[in-house]
Amino acid sequence: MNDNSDQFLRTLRQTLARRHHAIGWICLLIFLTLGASLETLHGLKVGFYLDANHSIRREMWTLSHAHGTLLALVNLAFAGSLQRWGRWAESRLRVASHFLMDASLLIPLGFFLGGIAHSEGDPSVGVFLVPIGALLLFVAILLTVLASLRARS
Amino acid sequence: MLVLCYSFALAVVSLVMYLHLSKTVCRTHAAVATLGTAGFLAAGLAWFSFPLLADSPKPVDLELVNHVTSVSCRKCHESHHDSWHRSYHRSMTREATAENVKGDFDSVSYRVKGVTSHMTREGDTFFMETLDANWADQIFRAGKQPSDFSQVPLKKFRVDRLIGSHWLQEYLHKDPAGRYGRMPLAYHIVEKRWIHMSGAFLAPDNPHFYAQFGVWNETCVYCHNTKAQKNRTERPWPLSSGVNYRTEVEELGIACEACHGPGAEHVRANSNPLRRFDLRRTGRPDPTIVNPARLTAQRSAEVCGHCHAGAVPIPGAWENTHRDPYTPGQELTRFYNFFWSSPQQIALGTGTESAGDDPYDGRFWRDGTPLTTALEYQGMALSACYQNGTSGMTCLSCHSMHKSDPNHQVSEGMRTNQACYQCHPSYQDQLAQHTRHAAESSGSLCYNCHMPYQAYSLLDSHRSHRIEVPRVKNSVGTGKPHACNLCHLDKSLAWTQRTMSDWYGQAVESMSDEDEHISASVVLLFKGDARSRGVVAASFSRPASQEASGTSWMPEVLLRAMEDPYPAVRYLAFRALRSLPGQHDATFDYLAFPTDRELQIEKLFAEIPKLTNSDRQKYPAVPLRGEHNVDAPAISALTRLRDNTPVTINE
Repeated sequence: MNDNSDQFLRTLRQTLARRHHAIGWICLLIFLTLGASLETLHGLKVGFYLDANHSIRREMWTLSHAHGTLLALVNLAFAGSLQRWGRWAESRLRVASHFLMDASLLIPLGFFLGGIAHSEGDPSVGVFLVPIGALLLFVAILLTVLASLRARS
Repeated sequence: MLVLCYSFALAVVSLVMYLHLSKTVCRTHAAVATLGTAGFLAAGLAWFSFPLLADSPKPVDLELVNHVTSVSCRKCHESHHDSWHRSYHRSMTREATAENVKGDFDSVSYRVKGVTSHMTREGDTFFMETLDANWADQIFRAGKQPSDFSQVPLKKFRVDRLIGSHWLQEYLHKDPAGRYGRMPLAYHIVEKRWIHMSGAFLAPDNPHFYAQFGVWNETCVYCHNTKAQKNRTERPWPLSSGVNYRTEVEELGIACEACHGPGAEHVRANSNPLRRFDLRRTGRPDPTIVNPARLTAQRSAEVCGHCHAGAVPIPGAWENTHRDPYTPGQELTRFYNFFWSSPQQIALGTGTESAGDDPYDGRFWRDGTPLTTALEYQGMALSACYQNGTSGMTCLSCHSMHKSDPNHQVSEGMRTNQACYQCHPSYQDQLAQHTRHAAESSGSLCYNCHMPYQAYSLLDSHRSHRIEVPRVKNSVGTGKPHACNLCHLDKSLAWTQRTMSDWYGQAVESMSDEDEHISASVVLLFKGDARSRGVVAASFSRPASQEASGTSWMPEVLLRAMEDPYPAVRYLAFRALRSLPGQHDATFDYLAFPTDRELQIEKLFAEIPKLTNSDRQKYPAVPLRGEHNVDAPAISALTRLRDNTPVTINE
């Protein structure tokens, strides 16, 4: 039973590691592309991005780019560490994995949507995705910390 | 409603989350995660909903609210702050810092009226060394002027504050009694030169070097700042006679709260993001702040009228501190009485009887049309468009404080006929038929006929804000130049009358011989009072006027006008001369001593090309004849009839 369980968990860790590895690189590609696009908007002095009345958009999209890129790196780190360190229970591992993936989507998406149809002083309602994503990320990181603190069998 | 929506959304999110998680992890973990998330969001809801409910939009007595300054506004209204920051409203009063000072203080000297003043800078402090005010007073009382002395005592004043950043910049020195006194020299930004204050306003030459001395705490503080409190106290005997000032303003210059009212409550209430989203979603007005665009037409116009109207404080309505009691959105006439003529202004200000029914005064034309800027409210209020319009005309119909060029702050697109088409669309298709001018010409610009350059201030003429039909009767004997004659400078008022009668059926008025036969601009330039002379002289430099009138006859007329006893008129005549073809390099100091000016004019006379006979025939109403271009006796005759009524317009 334990051997089967360990085997299942190893397989699951491998599967999830591959998944986060792929997601990490894909996110990195997407958000570095977004970064390059934002630089292009700067270079071309595009009004809807640089005008004073769109400073919220500039801020939101910059945050989207930054958080997306960082979360891509977090996914890669998660994938790299998953097979080597930490003691995971299956359910916790699944929750952490799901929440990390959801957060990687919700946080940058929330910031990006917040910069569309914003008012002068506030982002648009899409920004409410960010605290939800942040909460999921917090749970995922907490579970990872707990798993890391436990000695690996 | 927002709370209900939020609760519903929370329940849906929780349910979806639980169902999603229960498929992938055990139900216990799913439930814990779901409850944790829901708890967090519910806590957020509770955190926000209580202040939201407490701050639900309700009337706020803004009179009791504190001010916060534009720094606070910038946090949420960056683009509005930026557009205001570009405006000349912001920089109406500033501290004398390197960023704000426009004058040349790079160790320059300027000699005027026999006094050589020195403008210097030491680090970030600016100084003006000029005539000692007490000595200036003494010699004036003795009937002398500085030029009678080989040496004059100078005094070095630190420049503490400044007024203006667009046309002129005036400099203020603060004395130990807290009084900010206006220095006798100003910097004319338009010309990039120093001038004496007697050349800044429409006033005759005055031998007193400090004739235009003014106290900022008394005359400038209310309109050139935000929510001022004069705090003027009499110095008690036996210390000394005089007054002390502890003048306070909420913000130097005309800042956000001058138009939007005090913002402390607005800032506090809107620190709640749900409230902001709720207001944005519903589009409801926020009662914690004033938006002039949402006020009634009358209240909205009064926000601007607080400074752009001729009004005198109602004594009983003000506290002893002399804190301006008006808050935007309130009825302005609770605290101020409007005046519609200078005698009425005197009567309201001093409590004495009106000077009578004589409509002749300094700040209004004889037909009651406001003559200076800062009376725009009166101009608009006298307009049929405002009185009879059904669409609620306000200042914001044509102006915008945040979506406009800082120069005059006219809304985008409103410098064209589009401004009038808002209410008079039918003229769009029959413009040329109505104006009898080519549709694309300046003669078809509604403003030029219905809001002509009949107002004076700041060494220039400006558009009248009384939107009216240009009737000749309003220009006969009133000194007010007719709109047609501000472009057709070579034509007589009788010519205008014939044209208006033929085209629009206007009644024919009887008029003087000069008005019948001589160019109206020439008549007003030499026979009119200083106000007419100034406004007409300014028109000579407008490209549209030069195009409509031809320019070959103008130089000598303008040179004659440069002999005017009013410095401002001399300046405007010279400015016009310099704008003519071949005259761009002309030099003339309109503030020089009379003998020096005569020499300069003589020199310019000698360089003027003579007109041919055919040229002269083109301008039958302009008195041209003889060896010189201008009929000197005719001009002298007009000058002998000049209306020498003293005029002093400190605008």
